[in-house]
Amino acid sequence: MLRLPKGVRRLFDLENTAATPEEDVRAELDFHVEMRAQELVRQGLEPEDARREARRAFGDAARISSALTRTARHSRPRQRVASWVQDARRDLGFAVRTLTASSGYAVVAMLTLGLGIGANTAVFSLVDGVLMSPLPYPDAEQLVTLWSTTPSRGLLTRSPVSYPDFRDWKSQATSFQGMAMLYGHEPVLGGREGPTPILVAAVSGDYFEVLQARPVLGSTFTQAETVLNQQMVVLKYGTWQRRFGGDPAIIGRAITLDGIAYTVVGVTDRGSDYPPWGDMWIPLTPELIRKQNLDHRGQRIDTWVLARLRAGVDSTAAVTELQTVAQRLELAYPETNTEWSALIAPLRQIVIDPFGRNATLPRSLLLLNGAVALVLLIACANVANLSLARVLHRRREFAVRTALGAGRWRLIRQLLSESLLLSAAGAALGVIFARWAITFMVARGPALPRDAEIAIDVRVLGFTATLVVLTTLLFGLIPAFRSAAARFTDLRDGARGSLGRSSGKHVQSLLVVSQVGLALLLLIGAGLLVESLRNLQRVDPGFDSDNLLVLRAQAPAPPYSTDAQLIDLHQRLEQAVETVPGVIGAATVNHVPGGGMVLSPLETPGLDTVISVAFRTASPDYIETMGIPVLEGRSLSRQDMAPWNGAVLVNQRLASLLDRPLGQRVTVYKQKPGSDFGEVQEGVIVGVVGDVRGSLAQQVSPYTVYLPFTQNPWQNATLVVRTDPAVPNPARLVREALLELDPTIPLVGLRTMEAQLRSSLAQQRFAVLLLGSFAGAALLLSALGIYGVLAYLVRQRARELSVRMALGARRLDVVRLVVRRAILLVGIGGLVGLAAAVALTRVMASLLFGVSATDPTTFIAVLPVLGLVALAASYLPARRAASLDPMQVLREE
Amino acid sequence: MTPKLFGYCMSLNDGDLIAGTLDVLVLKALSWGPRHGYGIGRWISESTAATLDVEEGALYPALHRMERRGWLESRWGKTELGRRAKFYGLTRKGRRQLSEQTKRWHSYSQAVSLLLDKSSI
Repeated sequence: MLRLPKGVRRLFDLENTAATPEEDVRAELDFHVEMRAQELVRQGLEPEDARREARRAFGDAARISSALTRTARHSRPRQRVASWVQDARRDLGFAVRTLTASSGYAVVAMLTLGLGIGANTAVFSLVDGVLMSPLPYPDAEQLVTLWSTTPSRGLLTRSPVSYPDFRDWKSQATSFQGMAMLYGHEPVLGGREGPTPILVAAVSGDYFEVLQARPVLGSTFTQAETVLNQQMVVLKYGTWQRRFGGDPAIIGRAITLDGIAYTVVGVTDRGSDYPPWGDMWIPLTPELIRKQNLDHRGQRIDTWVLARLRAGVDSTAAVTELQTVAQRLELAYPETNTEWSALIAPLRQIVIDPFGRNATLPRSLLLLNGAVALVLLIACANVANLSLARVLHRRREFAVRTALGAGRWRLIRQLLSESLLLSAAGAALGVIFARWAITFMVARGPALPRDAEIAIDVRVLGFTATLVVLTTLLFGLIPAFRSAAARFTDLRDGARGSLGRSSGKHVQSLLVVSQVGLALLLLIGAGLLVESLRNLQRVDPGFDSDNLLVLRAQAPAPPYSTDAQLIDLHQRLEQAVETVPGVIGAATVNHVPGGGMVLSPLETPGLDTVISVAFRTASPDYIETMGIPVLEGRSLSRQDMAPWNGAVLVNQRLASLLDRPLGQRVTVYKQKPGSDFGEVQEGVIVGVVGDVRGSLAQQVSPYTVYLPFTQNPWQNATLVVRTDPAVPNPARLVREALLELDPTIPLVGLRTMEAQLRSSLAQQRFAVLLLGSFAGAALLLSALGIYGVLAYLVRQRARELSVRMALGARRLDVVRLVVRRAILLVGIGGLVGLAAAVALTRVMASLLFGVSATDPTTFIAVLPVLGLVALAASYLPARRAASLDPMQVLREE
Repeated sequence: MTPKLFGYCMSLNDGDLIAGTLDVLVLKALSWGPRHGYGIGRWISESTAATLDVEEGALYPALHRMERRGWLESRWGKTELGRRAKFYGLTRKGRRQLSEQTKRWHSYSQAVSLLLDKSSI
């Protein structure tokens, strides 16, 4: 039989179950006989005779006892549960009654806890959905991504793998169960809405076998199937919903990509849609490999490799093996593979941060989670204070109940039941609130990875349930133990607040001080993020982003296939746009800042090592149209174009590596996917231009080289258009002019550069918004807490204050007393908060830009806010104290 | 000799007791508050001026049975003199039982007395 410590047994009323059924029955019957015997003795029998007579009167004790024992043993467990449930129901019923009797308290406490728990649930569902929950694939921890890397050239650590390298890795490495290649391909989707360019992942046939993604409709394809039918497509869940309206009869339908008919064979499940880019999957066919020139070993572009580790192989062993394979390839293909090695990144990391731009996301989410937990702590302190005041108020009730025989534990249990009821009700409200908040955050917040998996699921509800228990203990324990301290003396008429008269006040003040401290900590955190955001917004992108339109014209491969055709097209596009009224200038480039980039190795006599540089091919007007300053030498001109005289531009950061950049010879390599990929380009630096940033959150601009676009004309021309702010809606006119030129050319991503830059800070802005609201909520709760303490103070000391006033104290003195108290609370709390902030804000150092984690200006700037809170919170109590009528108060006594 | 009725026995001092009566008596005894088994027996015999006397050992099977049915709940506690004893109290269900059985008992006894009074005329 389970033996529990006495206290615990008593707490849960387990006393009667501590004995075995036999002991229980025997004790009951023995008691009866003994009582009977005692009575007989009182009637005058000798004790000996009395006992005999009592036993006789009882009947066949042995038989009765064994019958009772049998049935008791049979029904005991059920009974114990039943009695426990019954007790709990009684406690809860009582709790419901007492809480409805003081509905004001119940509503305030429920709302406070509801907001606290709700906010925590919402933020946790983000953290859980994005960072913690397992990826939706079987044995997902075995899934990894493989990358090329060339540490000696710096910059990008994760580079794509060329198709021939992938084939060799796959055939030679034994650490993997399977390895599949994905190639990002941009065909044009035909349909009723006209040609739409889309991004598809062309995947090697065994891709779905490696990933083990389950389809929600139809099936995925296997290696074997792709041999039989190469024109198959599997849709992503989101694409199916968005583009095909969730049509349940989609399987077997044909869609056209680049004029070729593909049959839809399946739709994958929500959330299992790796890679994070692309709308659908098609097989990576030999024809596609040939057409896109993927057979070139040096062409490390637009590909990702997915692999599944063999069971029991860890990724360190796998990467070691892969590096050995890479070394062999270095020896075999020195031209393309010198200093190229391999690296492994867990799939989870790539899913969360696909392009290496989200490195701070996990940290920001955890920071928000920590911050919102502080808000809940503050909320708990508030409810604890309310509840404490209520216990002091109810001390007579507790004293009466104690006098009537209620045990100490009984009272504690009763109050904890009330607290539990409040937290549970608060959590119910909170979950409703959280659902709403999550919908809002996913819809309006910044794009988050795995957003399809952000939901209130069992894991999140488990977390919420834990919060309920924790909050109950946090805010319920102190009042509960206070209640048990009720004494008979509390029943004396006129006994005033003897229940913890002084210590109650101290606990209250302590709670308020910690509230203020926590609120200040949050406030400083929010202040630092605001400062950091302001610095980011002040970052100079390096070009003039006002009145600048960007869009991409995606030229279909026939009729625009050769370099000459593309050059001609780019020129005509530029001219067409320039004739539009309100357009000041237009230019083309392969990639604008923030619109992707390709890297080329760059060699120059001035440098010992090969470095990786962003490879941009631009039309002569690009630098001027963008408003990028020319720092040295000159910009590109028409004379540099065809035939090429070798003129190239470099950006300032690259120039700073060189002693005298102008006139230096540089060697780069053609980067456009195609037959001439990797062709050597020997150039001379004729000018140095300013660094540009495509995202304000980007700390440094990449090394960049600009070539005339005629040297390597891109299939997709990105047009940049400088417009006149006086002309309304230039975007529409530009679009119309381009469609008039050639309606078969899809136009993609028309936006203003300003909007792009603004959206590059969406995550930071969102973090500021959330942390700011947390800090605001914390301040409000603390103000309420301070108000509570002061109001209580005025009520308690009304008599004393009246006496003082009767004896000549001025109203100002009374007000001063109240305000002094407020300042004391806020002052101590503020000091605690400052100390905590000095110790804790360094966890957010990596999220800050241009401001140190212990920035004294921010620390000092938030202090007046605390002062305002103290004043606001003391206003009402001070007014009440000042308006006390001494005669009335004293008469009442 | 006393007849056995559903596993428990009871005697009217001058005759037999009708089946099911013990239940209602116990419920009534507990309607004033929890008592231990001995107290229940005492109450019954005292309140009826010793007309009804429960055979002591038979009381307990009845108590346990009623507890299993959910009419009573038991709890170990202390008597006024500080002895440990098992106390029984009415549950909500028990309270309902009491009022039902009381009603039944009244109409039954009324019917019987009516009959007896009539036939004596």
